Amino acid sequence: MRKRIALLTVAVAVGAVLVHTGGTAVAHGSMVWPGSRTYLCYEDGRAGSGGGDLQPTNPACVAAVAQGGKQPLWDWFGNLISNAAGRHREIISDGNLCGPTTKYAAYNLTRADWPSTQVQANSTVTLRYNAWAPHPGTWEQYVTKDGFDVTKPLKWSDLESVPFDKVTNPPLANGEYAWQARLPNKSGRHIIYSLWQRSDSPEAFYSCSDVVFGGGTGTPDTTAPSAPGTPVASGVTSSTVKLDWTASTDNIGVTGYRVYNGSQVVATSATNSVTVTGLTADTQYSFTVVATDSAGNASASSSAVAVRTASGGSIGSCSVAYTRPSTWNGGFTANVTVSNSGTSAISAWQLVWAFPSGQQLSQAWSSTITVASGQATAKGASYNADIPAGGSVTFGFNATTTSTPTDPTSFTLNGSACAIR
Amino acid sequence: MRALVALLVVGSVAFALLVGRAEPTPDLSRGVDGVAAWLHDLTDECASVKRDDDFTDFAGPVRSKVYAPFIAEWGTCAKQPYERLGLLILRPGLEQAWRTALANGEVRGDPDLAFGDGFALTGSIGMEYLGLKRLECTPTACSLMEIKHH
Repeated sequence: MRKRIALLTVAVAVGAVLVHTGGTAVAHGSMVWPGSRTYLCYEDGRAGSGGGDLQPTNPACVAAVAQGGKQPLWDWFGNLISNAAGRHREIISDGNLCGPTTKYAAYNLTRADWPSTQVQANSTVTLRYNAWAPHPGTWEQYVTKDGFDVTKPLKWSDLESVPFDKVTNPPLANGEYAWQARLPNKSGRHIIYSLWQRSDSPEAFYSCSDVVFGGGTGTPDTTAPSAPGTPVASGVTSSTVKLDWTASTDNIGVTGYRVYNGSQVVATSATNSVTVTGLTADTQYSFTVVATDSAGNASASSSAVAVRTASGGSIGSCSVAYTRPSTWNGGFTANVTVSNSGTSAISAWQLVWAFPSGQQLSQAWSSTITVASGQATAKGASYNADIPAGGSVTFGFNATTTSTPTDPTSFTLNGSACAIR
Repeated sequence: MRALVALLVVGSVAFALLVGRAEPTPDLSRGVDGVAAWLHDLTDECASVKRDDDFTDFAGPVRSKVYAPFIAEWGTCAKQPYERLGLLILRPGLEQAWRTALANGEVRGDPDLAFGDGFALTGSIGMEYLGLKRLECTPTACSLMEIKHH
């Protein structure tokens, strides 16, 4: 089956190559500079959780998650209508421009505290749009009219009648489309409304980027930061790796870094260090870093560092202490402490160990334990479902047995083997 | 040029053969694990399933009110570009519930799920390669639609 998918990919690629002439660009995503509401709330959520989850701290993002859940942030690049076909003003009603579907409706909230990007009026900047999948298309960027009030629902009539920027098939590099545009002459808080209509499909994408126009010198900042140093990997587990690199410099100032695996952004950071999460065990990765500045200029890529994640079957960043404080004729009590020695939290932990056929579970506490096919699987209760970095959880159980009990010799936590203490 | 044309022919034939064959379906008797195993077999991703107790935390109260009564089991896994792709085992009735919510003005447009037979994924990118479809709905009817290739 994987071969079929691979063959399909080849077939599609062949087609893409043949219709993809003259440097035709491809796209799928959302504006990352100036950042869209979904993108910046996603970044806010990542920063707030310390990795592994999304816990926004920006009040508008918090309100959006309360209304729409976390999924629109996990899917920050999917604010789309499948069958728009250019009928944007016909099918999107006033007040719903920033989140035209139910899934993203929370991003229409009329608030003045959405994460914003400081920009300079009349300056030439590099607009950036993330790209997950290949498509040709046209982007139009509108700005709100003078006097726009962000605390009122955004209407079509709030936008200037013509886009200040329009581009078809912009260049694609490092997993993003990036093109130069001249920002309009505005002051104060506004929304840049980006509308991307695919030309090979009726599908269209929408995003609202909250910006604050400051006065400027009129001299555009087109100087990109220097390339970051080659990242150094440490703390490699089956799903995470910590990367550090020498910081870039910039004539104005570096505002952040994007970490790539190949052409895809896998993490962002405001500093020259990040822990990349969500990796696949026993897999080769090639990480590079790009620095960005407040005008959207991106540096050249750093040199790559190759990293192979730990095998799921090898000793992971966990350890287990299993004790039997009480044993009696026909039964025993066991206490189990699971420790997370990694640098990121372990969510929804599940501990698996062998449970011999002569044993029968009779009672468990601080955990839900199921026994099937000779294996016990323990999951956390609602209050201890996650194990923070450096933390531990303890649970216990009583079991009956027809023979002298023996202690388990191996434990697996969420698919990774644990050391036994 | 001839080489390009030959490549196009080969590619087109391969493409036609592939899309013309039905993909194997998940083993739904295994619930979410069956969907994850199917997806893993197809893509080499979705190796482990994370199970959240609170669907509302994931989807928000509006969509949860419509979807949750018709979700028998759910979990998420990582499949590029989704850090958390929802895997849903469905009970009958979701389509009617969406239409009712649409008529009541509680939701807009179409369900944001990619549907298989008895299950759904929460993604929109690449779902067509999995043989999944999307629902286009009005208050009176829903239609299963092919997803155009991304």
